[in-house]
Amino acid sequence: MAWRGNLSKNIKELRFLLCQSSPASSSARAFIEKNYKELKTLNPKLPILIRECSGVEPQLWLRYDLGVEKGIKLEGMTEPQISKLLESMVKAAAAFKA
Amino acid sequence: MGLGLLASKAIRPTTRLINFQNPNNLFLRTIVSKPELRNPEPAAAQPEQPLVDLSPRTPVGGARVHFPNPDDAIEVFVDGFPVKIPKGFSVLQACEVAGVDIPRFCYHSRLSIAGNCRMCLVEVEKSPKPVASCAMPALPGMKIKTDTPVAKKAREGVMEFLLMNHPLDCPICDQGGECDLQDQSMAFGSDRGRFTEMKRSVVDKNLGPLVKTVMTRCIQCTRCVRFASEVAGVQDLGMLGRGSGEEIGTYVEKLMTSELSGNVIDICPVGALTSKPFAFKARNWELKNTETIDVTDAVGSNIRIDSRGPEVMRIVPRLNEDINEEWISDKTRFCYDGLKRQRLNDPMIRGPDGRFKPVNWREALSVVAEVAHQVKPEEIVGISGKLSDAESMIVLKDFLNRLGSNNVWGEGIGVNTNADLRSGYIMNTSIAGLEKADAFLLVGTQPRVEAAMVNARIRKTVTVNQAKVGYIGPATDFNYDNQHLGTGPQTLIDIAEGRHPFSKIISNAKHPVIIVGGGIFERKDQDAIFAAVETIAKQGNVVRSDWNGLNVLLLHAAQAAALDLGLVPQSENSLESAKFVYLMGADDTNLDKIPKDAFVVYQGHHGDKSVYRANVILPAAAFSEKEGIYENTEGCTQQTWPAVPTVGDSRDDWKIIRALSEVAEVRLPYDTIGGVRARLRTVAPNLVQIDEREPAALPSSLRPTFTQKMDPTPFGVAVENFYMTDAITRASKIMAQCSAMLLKK
Amino acid sequence: MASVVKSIIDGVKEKGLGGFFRHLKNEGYLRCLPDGNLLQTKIHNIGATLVGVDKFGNKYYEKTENTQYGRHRWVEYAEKTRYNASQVPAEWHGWLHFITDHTGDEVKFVCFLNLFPWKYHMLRKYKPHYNICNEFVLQLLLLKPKRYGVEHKENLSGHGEEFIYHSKGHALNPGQRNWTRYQPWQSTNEP
Repeated sequence: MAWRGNLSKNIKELRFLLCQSSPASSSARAFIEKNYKELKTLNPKLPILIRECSGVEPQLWLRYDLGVEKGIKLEGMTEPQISKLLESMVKAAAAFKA
Repeated sequence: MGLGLLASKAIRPTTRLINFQNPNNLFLRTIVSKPELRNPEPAAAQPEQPLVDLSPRTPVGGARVHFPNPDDAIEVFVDGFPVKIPKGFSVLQACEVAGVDIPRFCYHSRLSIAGNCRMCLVEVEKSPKPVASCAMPALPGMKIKTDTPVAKKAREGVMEFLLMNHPLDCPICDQGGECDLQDQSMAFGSDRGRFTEMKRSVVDKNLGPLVKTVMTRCIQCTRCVRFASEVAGVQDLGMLGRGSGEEIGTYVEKLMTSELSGNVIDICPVGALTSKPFAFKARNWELKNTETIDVTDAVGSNIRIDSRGPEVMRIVPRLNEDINEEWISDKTRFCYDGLKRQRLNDPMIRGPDGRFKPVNWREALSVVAEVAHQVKPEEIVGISGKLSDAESMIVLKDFLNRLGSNNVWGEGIGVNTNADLRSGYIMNTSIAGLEKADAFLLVGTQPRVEAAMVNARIRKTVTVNQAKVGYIGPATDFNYDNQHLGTGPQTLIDIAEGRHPFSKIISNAKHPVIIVGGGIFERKDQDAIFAAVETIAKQGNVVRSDWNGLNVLLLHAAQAAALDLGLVPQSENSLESAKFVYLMGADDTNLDKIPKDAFVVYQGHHGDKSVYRANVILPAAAFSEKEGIYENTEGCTQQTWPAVPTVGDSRDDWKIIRALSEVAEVRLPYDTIGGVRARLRTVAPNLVQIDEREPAALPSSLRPTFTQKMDPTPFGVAVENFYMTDAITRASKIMAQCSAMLLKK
Repeated sequence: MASVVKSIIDGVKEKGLGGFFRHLKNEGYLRCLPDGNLLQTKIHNIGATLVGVDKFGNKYYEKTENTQYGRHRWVEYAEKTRYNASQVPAEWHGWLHFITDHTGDEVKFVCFLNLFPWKYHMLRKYKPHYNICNEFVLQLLLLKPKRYGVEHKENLSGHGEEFIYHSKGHALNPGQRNWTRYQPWQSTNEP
């Protein structure tokens, strides 16, 4: 999908915060296991930080230019939902920039 | 008078009339009698069984008892109290579980048993003589008695013998106040001695600039000998002679060059081996103890800083079973006098003549803010140093991001370092987990100089498990057996492709461990090297669900947290094209790369190297003066506490940047350390879980494979001089002496 | 009594009447009128031997026969108006308080001997009861304070803040040291 290559255009940093073992983060873990490689290969310069900590709620944080950050809770989302969310955030960022 | 009188008044009815008639009653005592006293039989007819307090007891020092096989537990009786212990325990350990502390001099829980001081003698039923409890294994049903006259007499006798040849040095001995001999003679010794002859004296040995020896005080417990040979791995010390002529020494005129040599100071129960830099400086009761973390290397050893007023007097280890047990390296122990020299205490601005002029904070911050706004955002670069804490790093990153710059990185982290998956840069087998390993592959790392406590752990594993160690890198000496497999990445490729004999050792091992050195992050081909290591890991089944043996040994205290926070350089020449450089404690960056017209701000606590290039100096607090979060190389987050007040006009790092953001009108949204930690939680929540180690679940094999050419240059040495690695140790006189005298040439 | 009259007549003959009265004033006899203490000292001086004078000008007298025990050694202070016991220096203190028989000026004498050891015969002549070999020990014992000793000062309590003793951390102590426990950064090279 084309939007995956456009990640690094407007987003400066992507962060996934999740728990190592709790069921709430299982979809986030699945998403990363499936898609991280592809995302990183298409955007080698973009830092996609994956930070695990026990007991933390799954979250996705995006850092834009000038230190503006947006965080979204991924609790209760399934893996395709997370994918769609990421896509919408990328498109929104591109639209905002334009 | 007193209660007897009261009791008699209760028994004898008194009326006011009687009192009025004879006011002298007040001073008459009536005899109060009890039924037992009227009984003419003597009380010693039947000795009563002493009542045993059967309430549950906690082991000595709050220790935990680990039962390797719970069905193999034995029951023994300590002073009548039944206690369950694992099978191989000695009598002394059984008494410890029962909460009874037996005095000892030569026994140490982490060293082998010697049994030569005889202070631990206890009485065991059905034994003709008192038994050395440290050496005697506890048998089931043993009845151990520690407070009988036999045991007490034994202790008094042993103490008397020990004090016979011991000099009367207490007033001038550094160990006074914390001396085992003093404490145990007060608690267990007799009140007088009977020695009227001449005491023997022993000539002092020279063990180096760190350990002061007064061998006359030695009681020949051999703890130092056992420590040096078992834990430090050097066979430096030994016992010479026999009987009263016994002397501990090196026999040849040799200095103790081991990096763990300072621990004999803690181990020696008397004042025979003491700290030379601390000699005659303070007594232990005037020192205030603060429990913090050491930052001279990435291990994060737990230390206790003893301070008197505004200065740090000494550093002493704290027990942490998982990281450093009870030992600390020499660099950790003796770097404290660097905290008193070459300190930055006032903000300074470099005038047009090139000299620094001290100014006040308002001026300094306004100058910096002004220049920051004059440059373009992509020309702003921030570098955080080796000793920075996590709070200051996140505040620096936030501040520079808000100015529009993306170029913030931590010192020692090269371009394109992949900081995405935590398992790619921490020690996935924790330091304590290394004890289970049975094969080690060390790639480009010399643990002896990079992380001395990890090296001690590896040595422990090698001795106990007969683990095999393969080392790839330049020739160094190790204190355990190892095979030097090669010097460069070529050997890695050989092992990865299975051609090297060591790959078979890795595949046969049940718990193989690969340790990659942190110096790899500076190489251009780090991705290729990590890919090769991943291949080895896959072949050797190093990364499994129950065991992750792929480790990276980081070099600096701030590196793990910096990688956690994402402080990775984004582009190759951001430094060469920078116009505004913010160095936060970064003393080891290549200053030549900074262009001549760049405006450099240095925020740190020592005037080390980068100060000479700086245009503005902002004084910050050192690790002993601030409360900061540090993450060690295994991912365990720990916190330092301030032991001494800050020097001069210096402030905490994060507070300086917060103030700067206010002046530069890009105000950061937090004001207190709680606010900074809340922000840390949104970036890397494991950094807020203090004293906890968060394992990385997602394996680093998720990383995409990049086809990168492997550079055939052999691996270099990351730490050339063990004693001078960062700003604090470079400013220290003791470290300078050590590197002059003790470095192996 | 006769000796007193004789000394007066001699004094007048030497110095003339005006000179004699000036001499009296300098010696403090005029102060005797308001100060009975000084008068008593002057009366006691008659018939006493002057043992020595110290560097401040205090005169030390001794009268062994016909004197009450305990009053056979005394000092006449140099400063006739404001005098107190702390003006007696350490070398004379022992002698004055009957602790020792070594007078204060002996030290000087022995020091002198250090420089001119051939003058030991003088010591024999003037203090014949001292054994020469003891003098080496005496030299050692009496010379030792000189190495670390400071000049004797009388007790200046009450004279004002600049004169009294202040501990080494006191703000008014003249010899203040730098109490900071760290060394600030000094640039090692010229910029």
